[in-house]
Amino acid sequence: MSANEIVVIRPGPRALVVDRGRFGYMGIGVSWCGAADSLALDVANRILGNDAAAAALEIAFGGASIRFTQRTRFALAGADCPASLNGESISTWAAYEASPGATLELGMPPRAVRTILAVGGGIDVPTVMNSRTTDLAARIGGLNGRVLEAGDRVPIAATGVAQDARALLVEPPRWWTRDAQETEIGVIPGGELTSFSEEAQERLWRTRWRVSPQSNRMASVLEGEALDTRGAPELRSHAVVPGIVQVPPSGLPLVLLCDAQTTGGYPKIGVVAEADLWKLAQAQPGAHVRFAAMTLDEAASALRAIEAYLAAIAAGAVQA
Amino acid sequence: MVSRLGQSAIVLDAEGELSLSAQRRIWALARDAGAWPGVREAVAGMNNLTLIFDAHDADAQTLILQLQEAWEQSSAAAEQSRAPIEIPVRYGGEGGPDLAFVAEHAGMSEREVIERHAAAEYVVYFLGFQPGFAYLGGLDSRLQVPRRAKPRARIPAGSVGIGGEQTGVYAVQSPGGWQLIGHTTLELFNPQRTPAALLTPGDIVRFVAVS
Repeated sequence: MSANEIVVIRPGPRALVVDRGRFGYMGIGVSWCGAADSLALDVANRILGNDAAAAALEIAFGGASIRFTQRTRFALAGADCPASLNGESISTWAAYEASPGATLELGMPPRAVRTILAVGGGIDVPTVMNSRTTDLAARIGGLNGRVLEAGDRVPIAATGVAQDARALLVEPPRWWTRDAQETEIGVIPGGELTSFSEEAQERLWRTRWRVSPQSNRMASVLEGEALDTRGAPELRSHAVVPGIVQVPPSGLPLVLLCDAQTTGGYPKIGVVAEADLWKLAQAQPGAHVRFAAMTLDEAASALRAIEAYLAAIAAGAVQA
Repeated sequence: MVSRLGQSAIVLDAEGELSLSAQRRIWALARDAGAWPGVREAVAGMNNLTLIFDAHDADAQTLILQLQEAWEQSSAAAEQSRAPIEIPVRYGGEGGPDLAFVAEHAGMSEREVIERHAAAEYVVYFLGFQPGFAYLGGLDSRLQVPRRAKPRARIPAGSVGIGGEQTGVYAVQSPGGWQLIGHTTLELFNPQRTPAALLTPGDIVRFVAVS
């Protein structure tokens, strides 16, 4: 009998094991990490009827090839790579069943960055500090605390095939069906925003920022006309969390993402609405984003809409 | 003063001059607030404290008032602190390639750099930057040196360095720009250990030269 596992033939540019994150250890300097696009992870797990805490693979920029060793239910969500199972084209935002020996191929996603590959029951690497997610800085979680390499055998839960098949194909979150030249990102103004000059504040909202190729799981780094930071105060080191928009001395804002370190000192101009943060994790280098001021009420309401969407998937009501 | 930051965080800022007594109150408050219902993280910074809460389980306005009140009632009364933690350091050599630079910059011998660095008592203000990394207060001002112009791509865990007015120990391997003066074999971060971090805010740290 073969072990319960999937085999990484090619990991693509960057693939790793993720779950919702490692919480409760920021006080000792451990970041949350987790899926950069946690909504895609939530959708994939719900399509399969998995626990929300189940771990999956996050594959950046496609280019991956994965072999199944036994009958396995799996789902894809997030970046819409061209995908095939044993040569037959398959869709993102959908669940399939692979037969033993079947190969999943993911091409380069035409837009967006990260695809979630979830399996029934979840990826079954050991938990470290209450999470299976990979922390590349701490070198813990996932597969030996590192990104996946060719030849890796990734353990999966023994309950590979769910009895309850759930929805096979779901409507993606609305952002994915857009054809927009830029993504609007809701930001709740805060931090040191009002210490910036009026001109800098105005430019922050007006600028069409371009996502830099330097962006990674730690931060979405933006390019554009720099903001004047002269009014911004020197800050004592303080905790920072994903979503915070910092303005370093370069004047070019960056948005902290899941792997951000736990403390920082740059001035902040606000925090991205939690319902929008995943969009930055999915914005390809060169893509354009614009910040739009959002109230706390509007942000809370956007988050409730996502929760309702996820609940509807779990209830089988969002089938495409 | 407590302020809201985004949907799920509130920040207490101890206004005024940076002080150890304010930091003692922050440590005590971080420990208490970490157990409040709905609080996911209580993270001390330099004279500030951030609480991250789950909006399903806690109401921001209530938490802000609770934190403000707890801060006003807190005191810097000396609490039972742990015994000082000694960190054995092999100064210089392969693990401390910048010792000569620091000595030259400070205008003293390498031996004097070591003596001064090992003579001081350091206070752990808070942890952050990397897992298990402690921000230490108490560096002899004569040992302050600028960071390296070109950061190193890979600094081994256990490296003891100086960057500006800070000294500390790299807890995990990472890139970094501090001047490295030595190395310790003590593990500052070990996920298999409870707690995973060797140091805790409020700890007193001493470096001990070993050969």
